Amino acid sequence: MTKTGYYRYKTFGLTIESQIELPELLSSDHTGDSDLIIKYGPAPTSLPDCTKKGVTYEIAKDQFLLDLKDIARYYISHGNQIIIDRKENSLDDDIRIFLLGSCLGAILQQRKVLPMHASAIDYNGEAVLFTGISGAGKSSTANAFRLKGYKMLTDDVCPIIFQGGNPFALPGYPQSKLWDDTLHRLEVEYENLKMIRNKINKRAIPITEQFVSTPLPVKALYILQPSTRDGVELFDVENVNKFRLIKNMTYRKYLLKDIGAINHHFMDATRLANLIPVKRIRRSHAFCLDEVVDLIEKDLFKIAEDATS
Amino acid sequence: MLQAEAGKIIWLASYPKSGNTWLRIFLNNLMSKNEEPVYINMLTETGSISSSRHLFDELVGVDSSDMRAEEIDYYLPRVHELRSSQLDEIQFVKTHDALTKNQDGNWLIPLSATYKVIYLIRNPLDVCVSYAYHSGHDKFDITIQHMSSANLTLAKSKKKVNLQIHQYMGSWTDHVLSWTENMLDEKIHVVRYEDMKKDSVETFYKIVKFSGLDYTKEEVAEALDKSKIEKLQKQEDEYGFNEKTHRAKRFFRKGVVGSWRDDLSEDQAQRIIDQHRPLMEKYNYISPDGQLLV
Repeated sequence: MTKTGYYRYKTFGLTIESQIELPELLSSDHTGDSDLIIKYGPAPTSLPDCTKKGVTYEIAKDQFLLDLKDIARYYISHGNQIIIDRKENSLDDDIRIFLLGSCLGAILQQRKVLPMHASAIDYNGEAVLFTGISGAGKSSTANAFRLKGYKMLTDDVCPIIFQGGNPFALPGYPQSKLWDDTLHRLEVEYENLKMIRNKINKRAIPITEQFVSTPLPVKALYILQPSTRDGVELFDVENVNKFRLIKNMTYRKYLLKDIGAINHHFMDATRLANLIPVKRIRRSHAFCLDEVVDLIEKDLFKIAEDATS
Repeated sequence: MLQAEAGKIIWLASYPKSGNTWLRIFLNNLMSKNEEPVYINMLTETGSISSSRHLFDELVGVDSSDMRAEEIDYYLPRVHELRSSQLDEIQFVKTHDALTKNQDGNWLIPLSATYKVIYLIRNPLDVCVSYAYHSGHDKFDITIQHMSSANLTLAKSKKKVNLQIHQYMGSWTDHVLSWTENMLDEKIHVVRYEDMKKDSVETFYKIVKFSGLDYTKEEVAEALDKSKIEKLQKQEDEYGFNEKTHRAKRFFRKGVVGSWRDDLSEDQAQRIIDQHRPLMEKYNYISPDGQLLV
C-alpha cells in the first residue's frame, strides 16, 4: 500500500518509505510494503525495559532510542520503523545525518544484518572493503580509488549478507563525505560542495556516476591503522585474528549485545573471517593516500594471481 | 553539588611534556603483575586519554566527527560521568585539558567523574624546548607564543578529523591555574616534574599514597627502575611509540631538568619568564629576585 506524502527509497538492501525527504538515497519504484517506515511522530522519552544507557541513547530488546539535543529524538523499533520526534527549530540536514548514521545502523542490527564500519569499492565486480576506526581513512581511501576510476559501493557502513554460503556487500547510497583537508589533498574543488551540516567542514560528495547499486561478492577486507611510524606497510592477518578484527570493526559494535544481535553477529563474523582475506595496513599519520592505494592495488593483483594459479 | 565520592577517575592532568607519560608508565609497571617492564604501546593498567574520539563516540552513540565543537562540549561532562560510572574500580586517566566549563556552564571534567587529580607541573622553560621537539621543530619562538596563547587547543582542526577530540588548554599559566584553583583542595595533589626527577622514590610514593594505592617504597623503587628513560628509549627504538607525533624524531628524548639552557636564547627565556612569572615563583622555578632555581 502506498502512503501519500511518503518518499520511496532503497539502501543497504532495504526498501524504505519515508515522510522525510532523503535526497542522499536512491529513489525506488518498489510497490507494496516496504522493509522500513520512517515517519514523524511522538517518540517515547525513555524505554522502560532499557538494558543499556549511553549519553544520548537507550537500548531495549528490539528498541533503540536516540535523543540528540536541539535535533530530534529518534525511536527505532523492530528493524522496521523509525519515528522522528523533531525538536523545535531543528534543521533537516541535522536530522538526516544522524538518521542515516546511528539510526540506520540500529535498524540493520535489529534485522540481524552484520554492518561493517567500512567503505567499499567495486574491484572487477567484487567488493573490496576498507575499515578502521573514525579517522583511519576509510572514506579517503575509497575516494582515492574512485578518483582512479573505480566505482564505490558504500561509504562508512557496509552491510554483509550471506547467499549460498558466500558473503555479499550491500550498496549504500551515492554520496560520500570527506573533510576539506582530504578534498584539498585529493585536488578536488570543494568550495561549491555542500557542507554536511552548518559549520562542519565536511562535504557531501555526490557519486551518482561512480556508484554501484547491486550487491557484490566480498573479495577482501583491509583494516586501516594510523601509526606514528613512517611509511605504509601491509600485513596479512592470520586466521586466528581475523574474527576479532572483524568483530571490532562492526558499525556501532557497542549496541549489538543489548539489541540482541550478538550471537547472530558472531556467527556472521566467523563465517566472513573464514571466507575472505583480511589485511592490515599500517600507515603513517602523515598524508600518504597514494602509497596506500598503490599497496592495496598490488595486493589485490596478487590475490587475483594466487587465486588463478 | 554531586556526591564527591561518586567519581572513580584519577585524572593525570598536565600541560604536555610535563611527565604525564612517565607517570603513566610508572603506574603500569607498579600495577602490572609481570616481572618484565610493561610494553610502552600497551599501557592497559591506565585508561585511554580523556580526549579519545573512539570512547566519546561509543559512549555518546553518534559520530563526534559529525558534531560541532560546542555540541561535543555539551556532551563531554556526561561522557566522563558515564565512563566513571561504568568502572568497577578507580582508574587513572590522562588528560591535557585545562579544567574549564562548556557554554552551559558545566565543567568539562565534572566532579561527579572525579575521584582525585594528580596535577603535574614542570618548569615552563623546559616544557617549551621539549614541546617544540615533540612537535617536530626547534622554532622555540612559535612554542613560546603557543604557551602564552589563551586559545591554545589541541586537535582543534575544523578541516580534518583527528583521532582525538579537541582539548582546550589555554596558556601554560591558564592551564596550571585552571586545575589548581578550580579543583577542590583535598582532591588535587600537585607534583613538580623536577621533584619526580630529583627525589623520585619519595615523590612517586606520595603520588601512590594520595591515589589510595597500597604499595611499599621498595615496590615503587622497582617500578621506577622499570620506567627509566633509557629503558623507554630502548623500547621506542625497537618498536616505536604510538603516542609520538609523526613529526617528532622521538618521544623519549632527554627527560632532564634544566636542559633549556642548551636551546633557548636569553631573550627567549626572558619572554617565558615574563609571561609566566607569578606561577614560576609560586612553584619555585624562579626566586622573587629573579634568580632561576632550576
